[in-house]
Amino acid sequence: MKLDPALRDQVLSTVPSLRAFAVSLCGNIDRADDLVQETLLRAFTHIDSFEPGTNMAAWLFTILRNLFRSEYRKRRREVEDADGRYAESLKSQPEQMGRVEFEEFRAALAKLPSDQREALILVGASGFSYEDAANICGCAVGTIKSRVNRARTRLAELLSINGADDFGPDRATRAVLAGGCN
Amino acid sequence: MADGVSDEGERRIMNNRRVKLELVKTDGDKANEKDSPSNPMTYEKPAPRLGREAQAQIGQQLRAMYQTYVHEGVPTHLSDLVERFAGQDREETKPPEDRKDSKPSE
Repeated sequence: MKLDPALRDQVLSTVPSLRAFAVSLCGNIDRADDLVQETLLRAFTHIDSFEPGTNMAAWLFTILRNLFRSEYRKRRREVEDADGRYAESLKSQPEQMGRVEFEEFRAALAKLPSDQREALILVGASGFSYEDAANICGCAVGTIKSRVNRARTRLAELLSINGADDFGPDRATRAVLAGGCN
Repeated sequence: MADGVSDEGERRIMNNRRVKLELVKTDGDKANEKDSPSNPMTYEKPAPRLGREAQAQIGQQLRAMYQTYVHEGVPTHLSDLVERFAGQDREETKPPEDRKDSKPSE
């Protein structure tokens, strides 16, 4: 099988985000890599069904999302039991957040129903429009908006984000700032 | 005005229909609803709207987590897979017909 170089470049440039989506969805790096590999194999097998000029990223995300959903149905409990030590396996420090904050956020995200989690990640992190996310998930735009809203609300509950007091610098930084003012 | 009356009438008909549909539901249907992964949150009361700042904070943490994953890089076996399908691991000057024996092996 030969892949057009332009398509190859599109696939290659999408893989990092595709993999981040997979890790965010299933919370397990090995399973995420299996999912990405399976997605790429499917994509290459069905590359003729991809319409040049359309959104390659959305096409690949759709394949991965559907694979995850079919696997999720089979291994639902395992997905929910993802352990809380992903940060330890990171090659580098989490970006713009401490490891504890990173783990707390990751654990909270894992507690969301998978339809809310995928909607929130697609719109809030992968950078898809509500319309693209709706196409990827095979549902109405309004449904995606509702899922994103529920996901944010639930995360706010889980992370105890209630009001303006929780914003700005983290607790440690605020303590240092407060100390500096005295 | 006439439209309003007919809308009202239609709504009543729709409500009746919904009641009938509810009655037709079997125990099997209810069991399926319970099994649906999307079910638990679908039927809960509407979520209260979050303030802009809370939304912004969650968005920032979500993007930070995601970017951490993105910047982890792609494992070699995945980028190799793409290259293999692109035929870039063979001599680029050869046309695809000459590479029949280069079928990717698992």
